[in-house]
Amino acid sequence: MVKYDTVVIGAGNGGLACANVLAKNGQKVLVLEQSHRPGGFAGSFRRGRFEFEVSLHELCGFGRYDKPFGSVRSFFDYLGISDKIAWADVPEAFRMINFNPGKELDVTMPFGIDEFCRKAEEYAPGSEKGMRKLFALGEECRLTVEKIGKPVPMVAKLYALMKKGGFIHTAAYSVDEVLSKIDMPEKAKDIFKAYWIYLDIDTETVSFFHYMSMLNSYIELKSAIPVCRSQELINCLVECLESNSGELWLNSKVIGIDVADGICKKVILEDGTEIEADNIVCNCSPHLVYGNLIDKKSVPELEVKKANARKFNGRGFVVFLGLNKSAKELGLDSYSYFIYPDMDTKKQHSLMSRPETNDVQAAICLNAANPEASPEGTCILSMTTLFNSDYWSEVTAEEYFSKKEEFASHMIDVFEKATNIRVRDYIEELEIASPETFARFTGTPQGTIYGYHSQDWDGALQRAMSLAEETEKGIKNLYFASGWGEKLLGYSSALTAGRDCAFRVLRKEKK
Amino acid sequence: MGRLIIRSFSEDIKNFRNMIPYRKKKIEEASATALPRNYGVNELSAKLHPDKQRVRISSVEALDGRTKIITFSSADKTSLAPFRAGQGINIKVGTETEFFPVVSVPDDKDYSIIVSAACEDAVSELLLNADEKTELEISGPTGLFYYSQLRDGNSVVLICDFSGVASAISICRYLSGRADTSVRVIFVGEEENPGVCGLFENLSENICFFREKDTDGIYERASENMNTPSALFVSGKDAFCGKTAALFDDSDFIRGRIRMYISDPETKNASAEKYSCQVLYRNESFSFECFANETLLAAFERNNIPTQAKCKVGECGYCRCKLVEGDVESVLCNGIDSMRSADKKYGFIHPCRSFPKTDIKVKL
Ligand SMILES: Cc1cc2nc3c(=O)[nH]c(=O)nc-3n(C[C@H](O)[C@H](O)[C@H](O)COP(=O)(O)OP(=O)(O)OC[C@H]3O[C@@H](n4cnc5c(N)ncnc54)[C@H](O)[C@@H]3O)c2cc1C
Repeated sequence: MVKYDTVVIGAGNGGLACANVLAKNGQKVLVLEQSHRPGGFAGSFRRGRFEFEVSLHELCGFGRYDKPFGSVRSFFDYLGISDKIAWADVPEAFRMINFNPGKELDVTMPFGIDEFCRKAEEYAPGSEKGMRKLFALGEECRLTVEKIGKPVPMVAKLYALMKKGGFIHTAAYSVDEVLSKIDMPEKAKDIFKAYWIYLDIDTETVSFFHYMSMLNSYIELKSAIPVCRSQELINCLVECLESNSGELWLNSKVIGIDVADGICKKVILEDGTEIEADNIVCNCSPHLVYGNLIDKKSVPELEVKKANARKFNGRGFVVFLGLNKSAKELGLDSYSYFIYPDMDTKKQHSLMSRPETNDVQAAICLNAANPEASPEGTCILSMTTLFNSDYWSEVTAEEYFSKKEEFASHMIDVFEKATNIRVRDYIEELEIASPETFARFTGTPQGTIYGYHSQDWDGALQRAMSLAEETEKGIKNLYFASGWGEKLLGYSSALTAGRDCAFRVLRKEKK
Repeated sequence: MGRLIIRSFSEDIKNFRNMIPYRKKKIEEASATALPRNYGVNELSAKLHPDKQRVRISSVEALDGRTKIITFSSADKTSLAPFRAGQGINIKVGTETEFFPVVSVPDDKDYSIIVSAACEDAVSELLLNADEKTELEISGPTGLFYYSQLRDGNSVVLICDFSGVASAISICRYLSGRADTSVRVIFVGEEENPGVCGLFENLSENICFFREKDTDGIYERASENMNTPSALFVSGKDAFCGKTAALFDDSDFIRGRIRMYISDPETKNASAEKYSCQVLYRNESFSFECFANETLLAAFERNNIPTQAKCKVGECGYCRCKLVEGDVESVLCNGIDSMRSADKKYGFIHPCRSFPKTDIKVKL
């Protein structure tokens, strides 16, 4: 039997990040991926003359190529891959459209904290001071997030960090509660809340700390995307892994993890192959690992209870359109569109449980950032929404294709209504990804694309502060590195969680 | 800037300190019931896209001396995966896999395919000689040649030759009776296929069927008294599809692209030059011979290499692998290059469309 220092289950962002750090530090590493293609949610696919981006709207923590700040950027620099990837700048932060009569709002916001605050002042006079105060706190939040994971006892370090900054006062509260203490017009608060859909949690519930660190990262660092889609990032990570003698096996689904005396020993592949390893890192969900891969008797009760206490975040639904008119001809001037009926985020979030009432979407016109994303005279538009119920498991196999098209058509209607731009007549290519699609390609439970819901007890801070203690009580040598983990969902979270996990493995090995 | 106090100085600190005890309490209070083994969405997904399905031949109907319609029903209690009109299935016999468009409609619970002696492959031969009740394994429904209402709209033109007739019939049957959708279908073939032409009968008035002897009359047939159709589907042999598509090249009759199903993806007819091929798979290495006139995928399959493949026309990307050493010629099917830009940049190929030009080393 072959033996590795570490086996990583899954070649998504988190798994590849972790494997890369381990291989770079001399470990013998093997990544096992069930699919024929590495990347998990990250990647691209072709239809006709179009190449669609599966998931990446914005890469938090990378910033612009010419501005080397940010946690993801320094991680890529550490791996030596930042320069290997061709980057396209995202032109502006977002355009947000609220379209319910009486609640109309249509704002386009720039990157850069100064620019953002000034623009907000233009749209909502009297907001600049409040907005600047928020971003000042945001800077502290972001820097704290970037420090989480370094080898110092977590709670003590965080506490020390926070005591210095004013934002300790906000740590236990939601966005709405903090906003209630900021003197700023409602309209400016609505602009501030625009990114809520990226965390899939309403602003009454979402932790201010978490939201603010993300917002700060986007606005301050600005944003860029790989020209050849997120698949380029993945291919680059794979190449870097292999250059450090790490291995990736595709079409290799793990169906079991052997645990003896509370220590994990080996993984078992679908075809019966067994692979021994000193450490096993899971890039997939704890629900899958504790529910499916490990014998129930070996699963610690704490992990079962924790999983049961948690809620899945949104199940993804995306409409990909290859349009046979250019973005300019159609009037698609912006890259990123947040489309909301209104800014009652709690209400909107609750309406995202049924197709008839789900009118929320984040749409991307790839050509606005990357003009060569599709042939001349065409453009790519994708519309993403989330379902926070298991509606898509109530659908029968027979009605699945028609339900999927019906809802895609609804999403196109919403986009057209909000922007006044007709796209329906120019559809040359169409693909629709439903929760079933995400489940099919990554095995994610219920088609969840955003990990665990950040409930009031289960936010990024709480997870990070409990990580050491909870890991201590868990199965030995078993680790997690993904968007299901302590940093919550997203590219940057998965990548830095993978990186930090690798350093935990290395520290343990040193001991 | 002053400190921002939310509730009160001491309460804010107290609440911060309480975050972890609160988390512990929440976890402690949760249920200890074992976690689920499966989930509804994942189960439905597996049902929609099974790798394999066990089927039994439930009927065999002769269309003419050389052609049969064979119908499959599920051989176990499960129902067959639903498909989209125009899609097909792969059937593997020995090391050979063949694709067959499904001729029935999604509402039929069973799959029917057309099998012709003209195909001369091992799978067709086996099927033509099989009796009712024979059991075999087929793939889940697959392929991007299908009708989508949202994309393809309400005025559809279908053009097919004999080898592409099955998917055209499936789409016609699917759209038959939809008052808001008009379909014009042009079958190009000789009178000797009366059985096949018969399949287009008994469709509703919204389907207009034409037969043409050759490709010459196609353009006129397709466009006469017709505004721009919302979709044009062409199915048949490579040469036929190419010729048909060329007829529409300079016209603005069709917006967007022509959707194609090619029944005999071209194998390059060059020399039978022999090369060596090395495949790295996991921690193993396989070596064998491959030929300039076969695709790398064909060479893999002949040598039982554990490779993945579905469409074989370069579209699906399942066979994607890295070219480590050597050079290949990529021959595109229907002019569409389906390689991801990042895969091109990092030296990947689609073996189903790659012919060796030198000795080859690839990593699966
Ligand atoms: C439509 C969409 C839009 C998004 N937009 C953004 C965005 O703009 N910005 C952002 O930051 N994030 C975005 N996200 C979220 C982001 O893509 C994910 O959070 C991130 O990619 C997750 O990475 P991961 O490594 O945690 O897991 P995954 O990508 O889920 O990777 C897990 C891997 O493990 C493999 N695996 C699972 N089980 C097994 C097994 N048993 N054996 C072997 N392999 C296994 C899977 O096949 C998969 O490859 C979006 C996601 C989607 C779907």
